Amino acid sequence: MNGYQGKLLVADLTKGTLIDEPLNERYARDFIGSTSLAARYLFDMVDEKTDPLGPDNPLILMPGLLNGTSGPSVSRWGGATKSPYTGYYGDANASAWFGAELKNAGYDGIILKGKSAKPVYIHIKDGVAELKDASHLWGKDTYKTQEEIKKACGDNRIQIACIGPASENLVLYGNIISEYGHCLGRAGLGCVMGSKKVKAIAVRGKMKLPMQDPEKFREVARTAMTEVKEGFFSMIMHETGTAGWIDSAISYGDGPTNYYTAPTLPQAAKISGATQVEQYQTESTACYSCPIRCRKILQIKEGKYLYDRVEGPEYETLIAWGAMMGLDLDMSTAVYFNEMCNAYGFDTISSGVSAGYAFYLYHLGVITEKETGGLKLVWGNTDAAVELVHQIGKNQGFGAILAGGTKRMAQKYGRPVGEAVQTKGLELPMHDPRAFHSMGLVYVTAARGADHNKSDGYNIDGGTGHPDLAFKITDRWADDKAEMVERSQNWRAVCDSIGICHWAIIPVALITDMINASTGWKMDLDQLLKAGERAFQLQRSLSCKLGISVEDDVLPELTMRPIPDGGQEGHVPNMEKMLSEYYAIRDWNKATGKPSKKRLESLGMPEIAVSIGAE
Amino acid sequence: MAKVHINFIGPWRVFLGTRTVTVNVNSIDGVRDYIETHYGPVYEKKLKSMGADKKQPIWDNSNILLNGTNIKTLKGVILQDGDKLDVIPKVAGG
Repeated sequence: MNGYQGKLLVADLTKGTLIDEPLNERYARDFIGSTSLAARYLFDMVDEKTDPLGPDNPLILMPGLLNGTSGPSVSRWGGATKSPYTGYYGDANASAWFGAELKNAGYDGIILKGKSAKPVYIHIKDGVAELKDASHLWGKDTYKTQEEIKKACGDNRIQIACIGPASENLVLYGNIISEYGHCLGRAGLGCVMGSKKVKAIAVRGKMKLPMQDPEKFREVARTAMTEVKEGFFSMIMHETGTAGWIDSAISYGDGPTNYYTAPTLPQAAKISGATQVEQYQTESTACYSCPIRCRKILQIKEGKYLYDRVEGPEYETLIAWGAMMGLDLDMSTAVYFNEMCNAYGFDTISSGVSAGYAFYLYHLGVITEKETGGLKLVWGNTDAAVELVHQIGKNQGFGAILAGGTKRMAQKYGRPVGEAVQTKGLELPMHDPRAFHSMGLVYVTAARGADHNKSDGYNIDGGTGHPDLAFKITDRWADDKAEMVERSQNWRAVCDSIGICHWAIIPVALITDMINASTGWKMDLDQLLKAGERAFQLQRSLSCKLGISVEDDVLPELTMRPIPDGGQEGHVPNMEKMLSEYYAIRDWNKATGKPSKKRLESLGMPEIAVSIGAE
Repeated sequence: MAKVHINFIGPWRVFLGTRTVTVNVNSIDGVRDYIETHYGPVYEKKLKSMGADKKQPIWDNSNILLNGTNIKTLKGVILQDGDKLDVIPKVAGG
């Protein structure tokens, strides 16, 4: 099967067996790769009764279609599981080098089933997999774990996806981490891996990937590489990385501050991408086959925490563990927060928002030092926030409450659910829907809960949508976003399936040429978008199967309160209008929230329609 | 003529080597002319140093915010003394 290695590794951890299984060719053709393909496998394996931390919940990890090829910026891989954090469909994407190495090691995916009695790790080299004892690694952080496996394998270039103490301690938003903090985050995939006592997966290989027309692929990839390298988007990302958005976020009012109750903290500019370049950056580095090189290497010579060489934090983390709690950070402390979250291995967004909620409750007087274990959670108390990072990582003390997330916190303290800034149990990322109304729609309609990676609505509203996709661009505070959000979600699902980075703007004709030269298919833009829609509707269907309904498609009330200045200027999204239009475009049932039978059948998924009882 | 402050936000600050300038202009078109005349060559040089040959006006790749509103495409905007304009690259990520 061209474009694929043709097999999956199925690890039954209860039995201690590793078996190769042929890739389901129909699934691969329909869902392409990564999270989309993983979701299709997952659909058959879980239901409402499946215990997310039990042996029957699989964890499925898959590379994107073009991972491991010479295409530009084709590093993104993904995973899916029933989320222990939300109880619904959970997926995640990451970059770095693991996905490419997994594909080159001979596999189109790994399915972890069952539960091991003792800590293990999986070692894969050139199509041969083995289970190894990981008792000596249990308790170690994600950096040390990778270091020790590399040493044991005598191979510094082996790629490792691992968990840290947070997932061992079953922090529900525990991450899977590869390299320096490149995470399968948000939905608790690491926690599921921890429940199975799998500490790490190490992959290495040079297996030839069968391709329909390798010469044509190389030629198109070279052209695409130049397109990416010279694009404006790439240049900005190269220069200042995702943290470059901080300064813009201050102007737009996009960065949530004091738990979504204040304009974006202007002092956040001290840790922005521009400041990093000007004061701390020593070099940049890249993910697999990426000419953008948006990853920043910093040297921190001043402040409480010193680093000779450290990877710079991303935008989301800098705001979530900064302005969210009103913290006026220096770069040293901002890097420390990032390093600690990554070392313990937990989600910086959900943890930061949960900590922000604790600060908010303290501010209201709902909780006191009695509940917090003596911590004074006044806005801007950095020392208290540092203590919370450690408590969350260890799932201990007051941090154990925060490790449950905002929805459980609201329940515990008898607060209105609209005060918990989440949808479907997953906290909102650091793009405020009052700054970009489209993001409100993106958050409430994403299958896994509030997810900024399922559409780049804020980008398109800012005038930077993919030029070949003919997005309708309107004012960021307009409420006519349904069509744009639907189309951009479908496109993001395509990019995720293929494994192309969201920052690489590649002409669609070159993308289809690469796919077709690799697989022998005859894809065009319409077919690609249909594949994207198929993946999106499948993921929605799976969340419906696991229990979501229309009542879960809501923005939290707290984020519907206007902030009169600071870039938001009192605007709030008209969610009723946008959702009504969106449901019509998606053909979702207004009473149940399920995709229609007709739409699922038109996408070639009659069995999914039957399974969820679509009408 | 209005005396306005032009803030080059984030990556623009790094690319153009300037944080804020104060200029006297008649209109939003005057802002564009000022930016392209004074900073266009700086930007072009920067692009070349990054290995790109495509000519790309700063204006085409920017949004211009006045009190949060993108005034770039609005007609009839009257600038006032003391207005602060944020010139933001049309790229969002994070």
